[in-house]
Amino acid sequence: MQDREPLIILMADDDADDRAIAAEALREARLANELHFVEDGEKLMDYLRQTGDYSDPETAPRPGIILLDLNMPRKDGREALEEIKADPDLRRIPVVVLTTSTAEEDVYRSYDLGVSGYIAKPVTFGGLVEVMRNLGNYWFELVELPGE
Amino acid sequence: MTLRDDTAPAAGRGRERQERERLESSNRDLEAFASLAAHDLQEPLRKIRMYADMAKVAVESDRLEDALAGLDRVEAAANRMQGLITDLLGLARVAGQVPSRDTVDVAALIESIGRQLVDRTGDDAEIEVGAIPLLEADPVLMRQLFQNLISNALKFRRPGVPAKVRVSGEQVGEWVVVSVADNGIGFDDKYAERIFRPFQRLHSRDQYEGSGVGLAMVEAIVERHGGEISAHGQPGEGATFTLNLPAVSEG
Repeated sequence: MQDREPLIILMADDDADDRAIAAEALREARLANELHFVEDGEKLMDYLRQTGDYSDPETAPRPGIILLDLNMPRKDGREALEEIKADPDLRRIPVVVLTTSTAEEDVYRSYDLGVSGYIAKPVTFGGLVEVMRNLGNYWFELVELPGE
Repeated sequence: MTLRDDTAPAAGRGRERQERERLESSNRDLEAFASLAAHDLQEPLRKIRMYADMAKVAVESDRLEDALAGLDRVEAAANRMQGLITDLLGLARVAGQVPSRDTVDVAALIESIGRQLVDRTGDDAEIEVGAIPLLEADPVLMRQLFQNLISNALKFRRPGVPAKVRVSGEQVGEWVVVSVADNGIGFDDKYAERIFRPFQRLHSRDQYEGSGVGLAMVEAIVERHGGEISAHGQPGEGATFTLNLPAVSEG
């Protein structure tokens, strides 16, 4: 396998605890990926379109993968997902839903809209480290992704 | 949201259909509500398990400070859950209750609520109340309603700007139209309907505390009185809530 630049991860989650725990779990899983955060769907779209607070590609680089929470203030994950997948420039970025919702409707609807995976937020820290490790193996090493 | 018109002559079948539609829509609301409530209750529960787990690991590896920090988070999450359950019970009580009808003096009510709220926060907030025609409404629910509206107005203040809330009212036919206007952070009008949905918030929990139930309860109370409520915001300038409630009938 050829060496690659580590993928940049963009996590959209309104919960500050969850953002901190995710960063911790990524470290614990010994993954060196850059991890960026946005707090709601509006900011996610701003980030991806590099507008508003995110117009500087240095501080807001285009992500290689998006971890998306579904329930967020202002614009929720479902609405943002719909916009991402309708945008020819953004639709290639893999989106993995990472949410507390296990509602069948959310799972169906997310895959309908074209997510690459749907993961229920684990309830233990060990579980989250495991999720990060698995995401790392699969997305950062195993699969080929379209270049920019 | 519709104004209920109990005086309209309706044919029996029409009324039956209306009743069925009302039940169906209330079933849908209940389903959506249950799923939202479950989601929001799960958040603190998940944190309790997550941080308890982290605290355990920290104790096992002799990192006592990390363990204590984890337990603090457990405690905070448990408190959040308690608050949410209290608010949910309040909302459920409102929804299942037939309001009593009494004469309510909104100006006097707000005077007492405002004093309490300003005392509690001990700050320089200013609440101005105009002459408001008397209402015929449930006094307990009216207190709850205006308490939620005014504490919201005080909570979403602009940093560094003393909060100002202006409450005014005028009689329009059988209704009193009350408006509660503040000079706070406001909001984009595209969220004007969303803010009344239970558990909807426009800000993360870290910015502004709260369960997201307050305005849902306000709307439920107004609707139980047959009225309507709407919101209008201007980002960085303030928000205005306009509601109509039954006026004291003349004679």
